Amino acid sequence: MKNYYNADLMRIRKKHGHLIWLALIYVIIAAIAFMKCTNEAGYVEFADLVAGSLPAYLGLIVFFAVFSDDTKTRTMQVAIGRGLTRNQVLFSKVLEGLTLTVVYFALSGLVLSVIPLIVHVSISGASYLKMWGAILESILSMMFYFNIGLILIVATLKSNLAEIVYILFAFAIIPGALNVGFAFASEKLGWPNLLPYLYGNLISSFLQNPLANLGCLLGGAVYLATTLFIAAETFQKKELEF
Amino acid sequence: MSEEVIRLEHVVKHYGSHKVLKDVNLTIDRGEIYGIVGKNGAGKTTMFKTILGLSEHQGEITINGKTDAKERENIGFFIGKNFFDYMSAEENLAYYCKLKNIKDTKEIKRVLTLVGLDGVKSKYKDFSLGMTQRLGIANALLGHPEILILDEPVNGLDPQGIADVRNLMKKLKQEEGMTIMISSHILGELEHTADHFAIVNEGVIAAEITEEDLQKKNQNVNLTVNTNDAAKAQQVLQDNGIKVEAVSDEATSLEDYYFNLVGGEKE
Repeated sequence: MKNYYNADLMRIRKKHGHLIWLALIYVIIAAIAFMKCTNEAGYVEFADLVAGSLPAYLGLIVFFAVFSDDTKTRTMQVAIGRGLTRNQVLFSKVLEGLTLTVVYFALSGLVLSVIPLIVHVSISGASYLKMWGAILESILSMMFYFNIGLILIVATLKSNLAEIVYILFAFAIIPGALNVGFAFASEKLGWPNLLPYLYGNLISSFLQNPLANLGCLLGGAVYLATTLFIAAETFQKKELEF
Repeated sequence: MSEEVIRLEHVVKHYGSHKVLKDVNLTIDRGEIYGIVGKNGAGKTTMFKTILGLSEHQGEITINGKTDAKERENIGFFIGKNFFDYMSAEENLAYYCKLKNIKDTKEIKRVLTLVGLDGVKSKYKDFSLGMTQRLGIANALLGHPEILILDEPVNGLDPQGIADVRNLMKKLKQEEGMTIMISSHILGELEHTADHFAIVNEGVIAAEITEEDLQKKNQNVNLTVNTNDAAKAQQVLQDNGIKVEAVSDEATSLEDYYFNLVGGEKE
């Protein structure tokens, strides 16, 4: 399993298109950050916005890197033919996604943290903590969106549909619609209020007050475990083509 | 004494109500070149997929006497074109070396030389079909696997390429004792390569025959006489008490004609 993980990370590093997009995004973040970095309040607001939307642009690059070429060349099938179990292949993919997400998101956090030092704008420790909290929230959101995409990848063995659904999640279209839908059902139809139990809201609640909301973290973990379980079950039954 | 490497017992595979493999039983011994013959859709690729764990099935498949998935690490295979467009042959094989945990840095050059792709720098996206086939075979050979599974490996190859693959198979059998399972619908080609054949038809092994058995079936001696007077040659034979059953104009095979014309090695 480790070999498959290492091999995939190697091929991602070799893809020039991937590296160019990545570099472009960091340059854009840095350029806008330089312009916005005139006072603490304005900068923190901007940094929050960037950190909160990481799954939309950096996350999309991660998702494409992990699955797009893989589904085209069918290397998952080769790995299974070489003796890996389907669960091992799935776990490798999750680990790849998590590794790239943590590295790329943390790197953007680093860019956002360094720029105030360069332009000599003082940012308080609490503001830095808030910004890194938003990055952590984005990493946790990304993990869930990734798992949703993974289900569609193993169900179709193609990346197109999974990419579309990932975009709908990462650009907050599906989470937004769910929030509106659940609020409507609760307020207008008298349904129980399920809004706090949506994945994004559980994670937000936990990060706002980790010690008091440990249950929310557990709820988030149930979401992640359930989506992974569905992906594994779907993959087990899937007929694999070369 | 022969040593069993691959065994399929009562293997059944169906897609919905359509049975693709119907109770397939076969045994392949170490060092054999086992040819699977059958028309398109006969079940050859499905059989390979079940051996490689890509297809749910009924029945039992053992590799080296075990059903453990880890035994598949001993198999090198070429079924599909599993290469990245933006990488060269060497980079693609470097990816697979990592996946297969092959640390010998000379291995890539060795297999590329074996298939005649050493020194090719272009990206995979610019490869011809023949080059793709060669790269697929090279990938299967990475790490000296005990067993080689090749699905239609000569498709898209020119006559020299076909002869090269044939000679390579024989060399691998002789020098490395490799067990090779190879499919093709080009019967003439497989006859030159394999020493054991299974004819697959509509999901069943319709017949199994060895190269030896095949030769035994040919009890009559075919005598080739190069002459421009067939009647006279026939008369000479008959005058000497030799029964002539048939006289035919035997054309030179296209392969022979090609090699005579352009040179190169058939054997």
